Amino acid sequence: MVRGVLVPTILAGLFPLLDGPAASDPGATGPPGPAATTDRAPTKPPGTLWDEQAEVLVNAKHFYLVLDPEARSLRLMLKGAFLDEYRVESIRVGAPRVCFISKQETVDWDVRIWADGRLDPPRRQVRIEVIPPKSELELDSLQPALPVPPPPEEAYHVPPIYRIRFPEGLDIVVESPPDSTAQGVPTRTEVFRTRWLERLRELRASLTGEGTLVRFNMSAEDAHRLYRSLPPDTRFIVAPGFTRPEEPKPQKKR
Amino acid sequence: MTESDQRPRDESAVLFEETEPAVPPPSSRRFLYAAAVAGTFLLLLLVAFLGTGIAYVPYVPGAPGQPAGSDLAKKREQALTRLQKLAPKNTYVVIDRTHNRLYIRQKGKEILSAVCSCGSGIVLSAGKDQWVFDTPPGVFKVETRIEDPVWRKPDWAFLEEGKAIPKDPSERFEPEMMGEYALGFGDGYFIHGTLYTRLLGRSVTHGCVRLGRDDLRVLFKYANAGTPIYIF
Repeated sequence: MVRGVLVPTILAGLFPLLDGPAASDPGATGPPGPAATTDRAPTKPPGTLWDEQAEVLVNAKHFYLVLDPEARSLRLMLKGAFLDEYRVESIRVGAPRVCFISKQETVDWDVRIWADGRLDPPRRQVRIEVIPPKSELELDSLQPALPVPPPPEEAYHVPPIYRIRFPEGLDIVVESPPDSTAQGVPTRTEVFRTRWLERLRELRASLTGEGTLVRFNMSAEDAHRLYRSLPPDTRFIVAPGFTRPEEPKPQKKR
Repeated sequence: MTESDQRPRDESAVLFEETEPAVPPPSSRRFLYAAAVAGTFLLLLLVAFLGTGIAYVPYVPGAPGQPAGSDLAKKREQALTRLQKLAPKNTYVVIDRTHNRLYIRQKGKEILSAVCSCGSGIVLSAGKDQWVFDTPPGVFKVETRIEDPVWRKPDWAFLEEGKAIPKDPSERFEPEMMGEYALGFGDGYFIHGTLYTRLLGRSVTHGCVRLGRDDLRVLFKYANAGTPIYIF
């Protein structure tokens, strides 16, 4: 009798999770909602600035990341100039599911410009504030010498999994293998904790339908360089074949 | 009569006669049911947990299932073509502030990859005045090219040493502090040489970019006035 009451209750509790916004309300876009499908009225999709075309990228002072999936390359650029490059070993797109049932179609994230990308967790910079001495004597006797700043590898701790979050609905999850030069219990513990926290975040994302997740696997070196150098408010676009070397121009016949 | 009926019966045999299995008391039965229900619930919860989350599939550019992408993809191609045309065609300089690296690139090739020193990020507070020693990010151009530069010490250089700011301007000049060359890119920021070569690779400057002697010579050779400098 108890079993006969509990099992339907459990299934009823799961129904709201199965019946997500994509199924229940075709007209709603939601924050940050999925893109309009062909059978919906056209709405401005998230993360797109294509109505301004390339002007935004070209004239803006923002840095931007260009992903070339064919070359497995992620380039940091500014106003058309190549600044740095990171190799992406694998690119996977996340599809949310509840109880093994897919909830919604993946947004066409790869044909949009995504803006205001920020690191999560944020990169923490420790600033030293110096009060100047009142005299040279005070400088020599009382003031300790300012320490030489550590190299970036020591100054910035890079988590094994971090995100580049675009508030309009895209999260790039960057995962790298544990740094082989930093073995020890704290590192393994951190990896274990980080992966479980990521799992819980994905669980929440699948239930709430928040945005699109794209996962990059990178080497430790490239992932760390990207984390340490990424400027704030970076934009992101996908451009297959972008890093292809330019073909030589045909010579004009005289 | 059966064989069993003929067997003599005594009192001890009565105590050990076979009886029907005992029925468990009601409390044990409830416990078993509760355990079964809880176990089933936990199993369902586990299945729900394992089947809920994000399933990742390899990304394939231009995969079907993106019917709204075709027009956008064309617009993207047009925009990227325009973007590629705006890339610098000649020499440009890139400075990585975090890793203290300087690069000279020309027509897709890297001419120089050098260790440098960028701003320390230290904040100097003197009364109402405050200086933040950062190398600024963004796009700049080489505005001035100076040979045998002489450092004109700003106010903070005196304050941080506990010295009074001189009234005589000639007391501000210090030669041979900035190496053989200096390339200015605006607002008092320069790429110049240094006496403290052992500190190259560390963020120790007051905002300028320091280079070793040999690398500075290469930079001065390739970076003319107007050469773009990209700092990130």
